[in-house]
Amino acid sequence: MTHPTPDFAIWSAAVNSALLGTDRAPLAAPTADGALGTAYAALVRAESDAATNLLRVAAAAGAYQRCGRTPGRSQEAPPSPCPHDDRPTCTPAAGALLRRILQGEHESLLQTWLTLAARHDVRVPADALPAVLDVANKGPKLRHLVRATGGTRARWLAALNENWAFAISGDSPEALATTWETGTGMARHEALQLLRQLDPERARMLLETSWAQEDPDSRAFFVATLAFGLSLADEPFLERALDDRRKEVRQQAAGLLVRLPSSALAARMLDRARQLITLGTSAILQRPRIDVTPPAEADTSMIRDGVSPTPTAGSGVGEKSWVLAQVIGAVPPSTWSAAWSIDPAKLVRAADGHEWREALVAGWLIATERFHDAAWAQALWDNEAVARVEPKWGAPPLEHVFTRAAPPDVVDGALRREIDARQDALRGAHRVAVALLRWPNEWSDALSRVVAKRLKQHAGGDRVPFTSEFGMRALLERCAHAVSVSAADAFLDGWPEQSDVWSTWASAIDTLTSVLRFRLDLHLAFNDEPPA
Amino acid sequence: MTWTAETVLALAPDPASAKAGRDLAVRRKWTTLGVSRTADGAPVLWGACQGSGKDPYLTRADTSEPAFKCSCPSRKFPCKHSLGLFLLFVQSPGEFTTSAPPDWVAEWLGSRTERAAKRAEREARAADADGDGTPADPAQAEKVAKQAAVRAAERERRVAAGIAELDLWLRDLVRQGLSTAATRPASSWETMAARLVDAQAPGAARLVRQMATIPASGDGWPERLLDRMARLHLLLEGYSRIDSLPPDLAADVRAGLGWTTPQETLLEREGVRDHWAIVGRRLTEDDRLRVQRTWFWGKETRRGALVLHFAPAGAVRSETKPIDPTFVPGTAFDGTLVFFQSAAPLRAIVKERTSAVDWPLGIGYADVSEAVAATANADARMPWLEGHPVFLRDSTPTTLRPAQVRDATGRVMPLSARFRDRWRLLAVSGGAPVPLFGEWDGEALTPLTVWGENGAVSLA
Repeated sequence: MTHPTPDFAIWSAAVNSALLGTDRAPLAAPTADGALGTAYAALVRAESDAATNLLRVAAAAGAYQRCGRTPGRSQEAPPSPCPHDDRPTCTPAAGALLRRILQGEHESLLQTWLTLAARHDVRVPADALPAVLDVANKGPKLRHLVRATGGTRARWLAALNENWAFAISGDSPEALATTWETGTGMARHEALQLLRQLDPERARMLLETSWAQEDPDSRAFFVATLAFGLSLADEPFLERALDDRRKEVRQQAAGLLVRLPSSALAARMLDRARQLITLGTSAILQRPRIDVTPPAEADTSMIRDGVSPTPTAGSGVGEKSWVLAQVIGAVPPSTWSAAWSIDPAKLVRAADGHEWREALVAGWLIATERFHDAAWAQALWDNEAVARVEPKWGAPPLEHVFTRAAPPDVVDGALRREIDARQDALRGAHRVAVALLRWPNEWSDALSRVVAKRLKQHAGGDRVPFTSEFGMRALLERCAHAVSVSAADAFLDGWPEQSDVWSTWASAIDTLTSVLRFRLDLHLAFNDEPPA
Repeated sequence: MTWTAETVLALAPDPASAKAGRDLAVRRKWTTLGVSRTADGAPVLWGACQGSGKDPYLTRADTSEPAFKCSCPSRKFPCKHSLGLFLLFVQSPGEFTTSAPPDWVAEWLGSRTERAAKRAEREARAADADGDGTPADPAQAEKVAKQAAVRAAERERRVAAGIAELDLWLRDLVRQGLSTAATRPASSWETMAARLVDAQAPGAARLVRQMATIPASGDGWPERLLDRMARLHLLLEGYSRIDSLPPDLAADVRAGLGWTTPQETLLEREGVRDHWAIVGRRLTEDDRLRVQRTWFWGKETRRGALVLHFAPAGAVRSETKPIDPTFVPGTAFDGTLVFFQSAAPLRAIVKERTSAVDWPLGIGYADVSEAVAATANADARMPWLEGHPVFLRDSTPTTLRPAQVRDATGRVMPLSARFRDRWRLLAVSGGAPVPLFGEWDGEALTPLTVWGENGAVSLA
């Protein structure tokens, strides 16, 4: 703001006098030109005291200033505008739902919203971007979706706010490489991970170049990013990492090399495994027989290859069993079924009652999950009595192995049939309930409907109060997000409200239907066809 | 008005109630659902909702106002049942059976009609006493008028005493120096303000309370404080010779000190008919009062207007919930506003909303210079204006700090330091010129609404 100089002096004089007080510093205004200068004489009156005169002058000078102000002129260049985005924004209805989510209603559905937006190739409305970027800043899981749906506006904003830098990277391998070289902390980690997906070779070379300077704590994180786009080209680097000073780095590297069937490490593990177990035929009933040659203690070469030499202290697991499980876990399970031309199910059953059953099963569980072997996943799932071991064996639970390694339609069908056949499939620690909780996929229409039918039976005819249903709250929470939208009707209505236990269930079911109705609204707002 | 899910939910006292109401907007939650029509066709709804208690809650809603009553013990208003009932009706009116209202609904409607009738009667009597009709009893009317005149004279006397005290207090402050103001306890301002409230000069009290915060407001506070004190002094001098002021300015002085104009008096005046665009809404709250400031802009009259709504503070713990949710920024209506008498009329009430109309394109100022000239002009006519409506057709929020908006000529308006929503403003503008509405206090602009590719966005 600029002010006409001579008149401005009157205002300054008034402020100075007022600040010190008219008792000490009476107003001594300079003679000034202009209308205010002329008015000054009339404002200061003999019959008024000094304070009144000052207030009167200040009132006039203040008004004179306010009215005479002219706006300032910017010395800066105007901002460079955001590039045009060809993609449309979402529908107004979808935008309204997004704002409700961001205000705290069904926050858990933000991911669903963004996924739908990405699927329909529409943008987040501009006014919602700052809130969406803030959420993604705190929760990295959503970042790729925000990058996919934020459009040019998100990148334009991110260039102005370093908290949102993640929205810029992912543009091009060059930009990612720059972030890796000049960024810090999580931003570098993410840039490497993204670059690895676009150009695996370049990502590894960048990592190799700076390896010696990297903070030892970060190295394990960085090695883990090589899981994306893993190939034999990574082997020399990973082999060197096996000699790293950090245990976490060594373990990560070994875990990756194991997954490369042609790697030297994989070959070494296969050799070890073949020395430990062989297949014979049992004299009785012609059953296959697994012969185990107990391993010696893990030697330094095994330890270098990622075998941990000792079980958890106090677990009661023997050292030889522990090493056996780990060696089998490092070999694709198809090795055995293929080499011996035998159905995985028969092999699993051959472990029944075996002296080394737990070690064998633990190894197979580890390997089935690691190599995503669908046939073995099915075989283990179908032979639960044999295929379950305690957590102390260090193997992933059967439910986890099955839902990760078997194809989604197989998992879906198996769970559906079991719920249909088993009264208690959704109760407590039943493996179906556990599998439903662990499986990240959306359920089919048929599976959703079977679950609804079973739940209604629990809430009514079974007469078990909700509070006595162990784990039910978690299952309902999962239902709310996982059931197919096409089957929502099965959950929205028809609950046994006459049942004497219904009142204990009502609020949990209300929560479930509230989320489901919101999901229905989301699909309508995106004009989304429910999956068939 | 036509109710939609959004406008119904805007009635919710807080987000939790909105969510709970939405969850109750399901057929199976209700054992009975009925609807009938009032004389002017507005739906009256009722329903019984099974809650956690033995007996269902009985909920009724008259959508004409809207008004609600529910037998639940909730202290929130409207309660979740009322919202759920209304929402369900908006979403699926087919679920409601049309019938005569049952007794528990009819009673409620009856008591409401009765109260409305009593109110109308009271108003009619008051109007007669003002001499606008034929009084039933001339002697009685004369008595009422006399009492009113006595009360008015008494108030003038008290205000005069109050502002004499304020005048002395202001002069003391100036004599001792504003530097002592910074060390005064907050209570010294509050005491003066309270005495002005007792003296029935609440407007002056408000100005004193506002001054209390200035010494702690950072650089340049002596200038700001002196400016406020000088304007208050001007109000006092104006009052001392109010009979010699032009009528419009005299009205400004009386409004500034705290006299109010009754709504009924305003409604009798002729209004200004135009297509009024609702350009901004701002909610403020102190420990006494929540105030909703709704800004309008006339298409043909090319002027801003401010409508205030008041509610007691603390009744509803929500900073974002509007007091009157029916004025939605970004919408426009054909209707009539009545302005309060003033040398620079700004404050108004809505007399009539005839119909919704399309958004009037091209309203607002062409650039910053035009906006500043217009606000200076208003300042010159009325020195106690506090916030000017500024609607810039093309303004570009800048990306540098301190935050500004600039026009095509490079003239700038700085944004208020208290403005919190800068990132949303930038997100909507994307560095390009956008329509923007805000309150301009002579030094800084507080943006309230920005228009982007998806229409109006309210800023906080």
